[in-house]
Amino acid sequence: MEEKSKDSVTDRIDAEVFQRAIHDCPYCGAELLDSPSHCPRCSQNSTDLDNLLGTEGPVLKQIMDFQDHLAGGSRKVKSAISKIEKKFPQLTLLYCSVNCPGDLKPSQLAWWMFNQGQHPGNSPWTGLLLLDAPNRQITFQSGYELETFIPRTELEFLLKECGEWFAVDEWAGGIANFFIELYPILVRAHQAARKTEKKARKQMPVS
Amino acid sequence: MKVRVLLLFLSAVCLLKADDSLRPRPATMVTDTAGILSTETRNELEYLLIGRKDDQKCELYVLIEKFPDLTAEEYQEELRSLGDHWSQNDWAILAHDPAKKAPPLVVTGGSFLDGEGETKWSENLNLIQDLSSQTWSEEFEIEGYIHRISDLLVFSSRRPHAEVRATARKEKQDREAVQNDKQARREKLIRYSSLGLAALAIILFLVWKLLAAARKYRFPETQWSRRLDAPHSGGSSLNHKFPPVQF
Repeated sequence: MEEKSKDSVTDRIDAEVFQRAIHDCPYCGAELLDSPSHCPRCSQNSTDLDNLLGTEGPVLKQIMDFQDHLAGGSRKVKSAISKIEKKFPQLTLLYCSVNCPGDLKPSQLAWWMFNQGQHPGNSPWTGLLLLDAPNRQITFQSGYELETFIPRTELEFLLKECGEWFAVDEWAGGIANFFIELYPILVRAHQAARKTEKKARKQMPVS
Repeated sequence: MKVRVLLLFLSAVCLLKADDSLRPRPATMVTDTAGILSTETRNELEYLLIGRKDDQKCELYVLIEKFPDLTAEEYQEELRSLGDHWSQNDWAILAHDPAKKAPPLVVTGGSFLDGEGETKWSENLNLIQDLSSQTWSEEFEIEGYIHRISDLLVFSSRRPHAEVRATARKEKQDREAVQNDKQARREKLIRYSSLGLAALAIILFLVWKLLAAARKYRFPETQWSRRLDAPHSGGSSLNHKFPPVQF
């Protein structure tokens, strides 16, 4: 079943106009076209994870350092996140470090946390960076609105850069660097989005 | 009221006319309408008098012409007015009417008369004019007389050397002071302008920084659709497996 954004109004532009993200199934990694209610390859959807992990997700906070990787560096991370949230009032950014149990992939856990966790802000504009240090994986999960604007290649590069920091045991530095470097990416994405919006509005029929 | 204004206007016009009625300064130092002087003599005298006018600041105007129908006193008064009108320096006018067979009329004026110059001038003029044997109609007589009067004017108006030097020094100092003052003003202006521009640049920079700091970015709102029945995000996570920690 397809559900449109809650306050969908006529002057909103279709996300496809800006679409810069590629949507993969968190289970099998198949690329998702359109908006299917089940993955066309593995036939799974969010209910399957809910059955596994439950429907009561944790309360999402700005810093959820369950593995204690930030140590004294949490201030630097908080400051980088605050800077972004101050300049981009729509956004809410979160960081979480966990140890994924069993066969659960970090991308699945991030997806479940994102969808079942109790959100502090406007969830379609939220971004969650999840670090699974024991499994050497880092993942970034974004809401329906935010994902539309962040260029995938730049985000991949950022995650790779994070990994280089982690490889030299600089966990807090890597996380802080991710959010510091995310800021100019967002500024550029915003400029591109405004240009696209202007162009799209010109082509829109006058009601 | 109208009559008063008219009278005032008329009196002003009369005053202007009276001032304008003064004869303009002649183009040459020597004016000889009677034709006593030969062209060569006239040119020599002109050269001499212009040189003294430029170097010594003494101007001698020679007018050889028929005198107007005025008494000697009236004519002298008119010549005095002309001299004051024509010259800012020490001056003398030598007027001669050959028909009168009398010594030329000499009138002088200028600042040199305020000091010792007047004594020098009066005493020596008497000596020069005591030439009863002359006919005053020959060229050489008039030429010689012009030379003597010109010499006397230069002699009388010459100031003591120390005074001349002091005046020159003072003029130089005044000139330098004016130049220094202008230079100082220019430097002050440049300094204040530079400071003003720098302050303006700083203010503009701060305003720009403030505006930049106050600026907020808002992405456009979009129409999106749920995927995989997920309420907030439809599985568009990006994952990266990083290398092991190298100790």
